[in-house]
Amino acid sequence: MPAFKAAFNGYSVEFSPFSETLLAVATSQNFGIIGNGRQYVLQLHPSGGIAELCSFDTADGLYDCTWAEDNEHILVSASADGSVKVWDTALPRHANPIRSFEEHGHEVNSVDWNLVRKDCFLSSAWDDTAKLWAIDAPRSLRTFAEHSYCVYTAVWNPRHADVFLTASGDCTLRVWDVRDPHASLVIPGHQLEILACDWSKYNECVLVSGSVDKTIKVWDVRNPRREMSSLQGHGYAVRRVKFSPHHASVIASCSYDMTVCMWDYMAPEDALLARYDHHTEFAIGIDMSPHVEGLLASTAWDETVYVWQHGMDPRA
Amino acid sequence: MAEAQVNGAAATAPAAAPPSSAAPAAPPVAAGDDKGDNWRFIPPQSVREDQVQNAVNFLSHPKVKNSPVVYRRSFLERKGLTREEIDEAFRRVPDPPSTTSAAPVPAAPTAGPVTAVALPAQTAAVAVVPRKGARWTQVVLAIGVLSAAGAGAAVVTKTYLFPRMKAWLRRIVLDEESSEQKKSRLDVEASKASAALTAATTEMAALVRELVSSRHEERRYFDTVVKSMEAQTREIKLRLDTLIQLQKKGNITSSETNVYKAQVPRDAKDSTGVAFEPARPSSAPYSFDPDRFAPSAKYSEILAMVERGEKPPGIRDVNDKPPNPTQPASNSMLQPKTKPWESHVPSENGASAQPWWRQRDGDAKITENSVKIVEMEDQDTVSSDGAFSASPQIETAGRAWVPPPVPKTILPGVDAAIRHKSPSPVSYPSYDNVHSNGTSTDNAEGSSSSEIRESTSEVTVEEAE
Repeated sequence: MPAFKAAFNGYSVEFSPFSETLLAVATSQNFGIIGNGRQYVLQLHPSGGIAELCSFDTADGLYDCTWAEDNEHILVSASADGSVKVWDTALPRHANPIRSFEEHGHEVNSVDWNLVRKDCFLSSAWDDTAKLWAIDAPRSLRTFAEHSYCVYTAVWNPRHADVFLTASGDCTLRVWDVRDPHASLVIPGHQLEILACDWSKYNECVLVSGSVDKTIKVWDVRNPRREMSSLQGHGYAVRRVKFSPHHASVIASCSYDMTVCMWDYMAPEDALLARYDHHTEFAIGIDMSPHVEGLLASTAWDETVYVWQHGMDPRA
Repeated sequence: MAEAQVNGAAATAPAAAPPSSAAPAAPPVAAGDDKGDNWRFIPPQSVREDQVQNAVNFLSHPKVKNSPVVYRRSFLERKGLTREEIDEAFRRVPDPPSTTSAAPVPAAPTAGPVTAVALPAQTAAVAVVPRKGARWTQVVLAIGVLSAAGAGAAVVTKTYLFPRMKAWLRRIVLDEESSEQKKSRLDVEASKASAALTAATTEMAALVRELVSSRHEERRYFDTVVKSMEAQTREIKLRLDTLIQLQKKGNITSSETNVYKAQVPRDAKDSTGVAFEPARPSSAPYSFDPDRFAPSAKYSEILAMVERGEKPPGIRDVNDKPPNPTQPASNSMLQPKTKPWESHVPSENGASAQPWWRQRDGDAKITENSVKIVEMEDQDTVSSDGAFSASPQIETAGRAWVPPPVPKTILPGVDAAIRHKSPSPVSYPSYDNVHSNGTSTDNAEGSSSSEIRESTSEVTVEEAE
């Protein structure tokens, strides 16, 4: 399985919803502490390699990226200087970015495009807020400010156009409806900061959270007092969790223990399906392809991007 | 009323007189009739002793004694007593009741006229006395009522009228200031107070903001410090482990240790072959390959530099502002693809014509628990070419979600166990639905998914618990 060597430390990887060969990778110089950022667009070649299709440089590091769901050219990046950059991959580099939304007061940690209506996207930042945007609106459409610490992740529900989930450093998860200014549900999920969250693609009431306390918890919004399942096995904080687009109960996670793990939370015995330790630094980004079942991509602070099939060795 | 009683008594007195006078007149007439042949029915004027006795008892009653004479007489008359008997009873009443009835009886006819005359006088006196007493009691009562009224009026005036008067007087006396002056003074005071309040609140807000931002900064600094500490401890652990392993293998020679020591300050990373989790079997450490790792600055070094105020090398001044902030997005040529969870997409088989990312190991090294994925492969159809091809199943199903076929499990007993799961003691119906979604049949999946859709509308209304 080929690996791509980036110039900067990798932060996020995302498969394109339109093309099964395109990947977006958000990277930051100097581990994202200080320095530039670069948004890569990579292409998987049938000959067996990953090549850079194009890249965009930014003044500050990039922490997350997301593809648009209604336009195959549009790519959105979350920047450490508080701005949200929108790129058009069909335009030349000098015409990019086509938008720079600068409303957040601190680092934007995640961006996510709406999967149902496909016309808007969310950003969440270290200024304790999440914001709703549309490409053609000059300012944010909504601001959701209820968390009392950094909002690390904001994720849309794949079946409900108005519902999304945020994970925050104030140790809570909040389910929101964009039509309400206040959260619909607050889940005090962990004892330490919650860094990642995702919705189940097949059960619209099930969500997963990953925390600094090294655990991954699966929740049902209809019974939020107690988690459905707690997956333990990571040695350090869990940085990102993603539900599989192909299997209802399969979760992929990556952690500061430099491993990527695959879980099945409904497995009768051990939930851990596989563990991949191909990275040599904090594994920060993980994604599962919606086109090809079992295809995983991960990136880490070791400046590498790996794409491999579940069950096979990424380094092979 | 007293006069009426007097009149009444006076009326009855003369009225009593004629009958009593008639009474003595009657016996002589009756006596005369006995001789003569004047046939006139003369009612017997004898006094019935039992009636008289009853009347005496009646009149002796203390209540009756307090009542006016007229009422006593009328009562006795109603009872059918004759005037003689009534008079006799009245005669007897002052007397003690122990006097025999015999005495009055024989004395009745002879003493009749005398007593009859005396009786009206007595009754008149008795009537007058009660009249006077009545007047007196009535006067006393009237005086009492008037005094009570006067006292009440005094109390009322004291409690209500006087304060009102006082207040009215005070208002007149003290109301030298005009009402406008008062209002303006109040306004000035109010505006001063509000201004002071707003100033205070803005100060407070500024302070709070400062506090919050300083707290954030402190927290973030703390986080970065913690991360760097963790990284350092990890490295130390790695080095220790490799050192121990090298020592164990007995490969340590003086030269190698020197080489190792020299390499240590260079801070090149070791391999990650050492496992963190005790459950995982420790694999052999990879051969130390410095070429594999780029000499990038370490995380903690960067942090240290930043703390010192130095800028790490290689940072360019990039202008990432949009050249045209209203640039429209390029036209989209492709339609959004349906997601796998929106319509069932069967996974591809590992045919040789597939590109490398679609190729899968036939016997993948997956544990038993991932049988789902393994079994899915076997059921798949072979795709025609490497490009992403929509399977016939997608085209027929359209946008309706068709659940994936139930995978068969390897162990025979597991199938039955999953299907006929006994309900847990603390279970909710929805929880069971969710739980069984992954392994239930198609029908159950279809119905439960609609259930979930309905219940999410409740979720959005739910308040946080």
